[in-house]
Amino acid sequence: MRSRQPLIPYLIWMVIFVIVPLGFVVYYTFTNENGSFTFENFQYVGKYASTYVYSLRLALVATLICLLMAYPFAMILSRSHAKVQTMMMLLIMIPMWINFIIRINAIAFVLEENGIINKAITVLGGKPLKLIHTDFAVVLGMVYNYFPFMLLPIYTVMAKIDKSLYEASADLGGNGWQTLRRVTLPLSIPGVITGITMVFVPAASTNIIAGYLGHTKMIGDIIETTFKTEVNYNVGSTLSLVLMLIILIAMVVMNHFDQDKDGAMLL
Amino acid sequence: MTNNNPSSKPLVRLENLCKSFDGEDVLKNINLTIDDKAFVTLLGPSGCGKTTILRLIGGFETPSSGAVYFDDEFINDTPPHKRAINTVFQRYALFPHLNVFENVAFGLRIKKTPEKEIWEQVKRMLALVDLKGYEKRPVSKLSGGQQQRVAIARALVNMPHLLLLDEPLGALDLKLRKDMQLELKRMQQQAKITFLYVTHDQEEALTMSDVIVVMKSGTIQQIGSPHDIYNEPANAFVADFIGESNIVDAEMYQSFIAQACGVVFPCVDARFEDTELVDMVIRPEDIEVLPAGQGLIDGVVEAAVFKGVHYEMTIHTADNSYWLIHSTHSAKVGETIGMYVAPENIHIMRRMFPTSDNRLTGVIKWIENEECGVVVNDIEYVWAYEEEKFFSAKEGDSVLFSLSPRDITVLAADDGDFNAYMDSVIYKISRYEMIAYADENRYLIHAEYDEQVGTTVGIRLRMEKAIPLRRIEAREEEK
Repeated sequence: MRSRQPLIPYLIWMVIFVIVPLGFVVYYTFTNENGSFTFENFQYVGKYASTYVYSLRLALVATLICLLMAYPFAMILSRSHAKVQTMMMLLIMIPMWINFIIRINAIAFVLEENGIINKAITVLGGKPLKLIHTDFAVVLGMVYNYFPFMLLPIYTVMAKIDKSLYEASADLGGNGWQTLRRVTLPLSIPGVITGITMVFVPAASTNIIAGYLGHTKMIGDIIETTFKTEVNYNVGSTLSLVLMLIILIAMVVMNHFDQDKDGAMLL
Repeated sequence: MTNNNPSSKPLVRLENLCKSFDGEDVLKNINLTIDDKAFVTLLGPSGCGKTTILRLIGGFETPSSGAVYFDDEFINDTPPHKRAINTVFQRYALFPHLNVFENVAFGLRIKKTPEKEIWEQVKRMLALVDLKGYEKRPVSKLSGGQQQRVAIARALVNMPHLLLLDEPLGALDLKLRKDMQLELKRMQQQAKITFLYVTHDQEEALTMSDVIVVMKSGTIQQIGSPHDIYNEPANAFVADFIGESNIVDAEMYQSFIAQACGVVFPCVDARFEDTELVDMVIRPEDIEVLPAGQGLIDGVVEAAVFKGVHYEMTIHTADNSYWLIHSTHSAKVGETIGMYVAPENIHIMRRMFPTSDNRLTGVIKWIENEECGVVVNDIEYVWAYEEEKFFSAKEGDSVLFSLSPRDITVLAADDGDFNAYMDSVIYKISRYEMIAYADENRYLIHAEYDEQVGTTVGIRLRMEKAIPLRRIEAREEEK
């Protein structure tokens, strides 16, 4: 086992930054303020059940929209001229260099009661729309922020598909649609799974987007207030552990679709 | 066209087919007919356009001009999935997400063939390519030879009228390649399908084909049976590319007599009406070894290697050329022998370059202090000016020069006076003969070393060695 020694720094890293913090979360989940063992904290999970469902639902919608937009885009991009590919990638990455909070604020600014869109509507003689502090605004914020995380893995996988496979499919009688269904789609599944993971996980647990754009709290916001405002580490830990488990189960189920297990890199 | 196959119905017809990529002509006016159920091979060095022909027939490229007919139907614009043609791709292009069975079944599933029939057909196909029991294997777990056979099965299962094969044996080792050559020929005869095979390996072409199409720089050099191509090559390029040969610069001033190396070779060809410059091609096995003085030309044995069936000998003659002989008789190194070639074994062909030197036209730009500046192809060269030598040419006059093929230097691209495309490289018993193109001009180059054919090289003309031949009259120039 020659490879064991170089692993040591990573093992140390894993222990300090993953295993130990996770241990703390589990410890707080099963104890009360006095440090004695209890299951009581789980009653709060029931209390916030609707918030869990709400958060997961919005995250799911945002993930689906990202996927539907990113897949055709990645497909066209991966078959474009190399210069076009580099240029487009740059254009997609540039907004990512701007601070997350500023980007969310920018969306809020656009959607406000007297924001750009509503001003335009008023000028044209229409009635202002209720845009900000809606589910729509939250989903828009998620899609806007997480779209590159869906696009990049799909694009990377597609760019690696041997172009002669498309020719082989056409040669064997496959038209555009059949080639997409029988060649492109199965070969790009690993990228799709990675993309879904990279969008769904942060979207389900976000604690900022709903604060600026939403009308009600998401589970991420609840966990934040429990820790910061109520300073209740026990309940906070329980809520985040349950969220983690839900996401984990969702990911395991999804990875089942990837026969090669290539896309399981995030789990 | 000679064809060993009984059927001679044309299946594919290419008419004046041209293809260019980014302004570069890859195919120049190709006319070719492929007969039904024949095994036709496109043979040529890399970059000769053979794969482009295949891709045009397969529908992966569209012709720049000209027409592709399949079964008498014009198919220039028919997409690949609507052509009754299947391809075995160069690196197989097997679907990595499917196992052997599903790869072979791909075309049948597209056609919505009933499941039971798919099962039967795939089984039958896998048996034909000797892959029984491999159905469930992922294709990534197969050897090169096995992948190649899956690729063939995947194409053949669709019962195409025409199978295109793009150097399918290129990735295999020698032993496997030899086995597969015979195997492919067997499959072609068994399945009664037309094969169009692309290769740069002349031996492969000779082994398998009914018809060989020899190509160079986007043009067809010769079409014929392996027998014809080997025994009656159309020009020195074909002779050099197919098998080993002694290619000799010769002159023919009268029919049935060729002169080369200061010796007279009786032959069976009539002289060309327009030129006495010819290439004489002699296969190494056609040279008979005789005692010194009893053959046509004497030479000293430089090297002799036993090759199993024959000895391969290199003979050095007085005019400093090296002849290659394959003979069952051996001679000792250092021994002087006589070489004899029967007249019917001497093949006479037109030279690829019409003259034995380069003819260049230069315009005199200035004459000053017994020097003159002459512009050849936009480049100025300076000569010592002698009125007599330049036929009293004045400033503005044109002069025709002769430049020996020895006085052109080949350099790396961009390092010479200008760049040229290396169109042909042939070994002629004492040196390499290269022909390079720059714009419309062709240059004949002789050198001891060779260059890669089909590449761009830098050319330097050593014009100081050029000999003025005559003044060109203004009238003549206008023509």
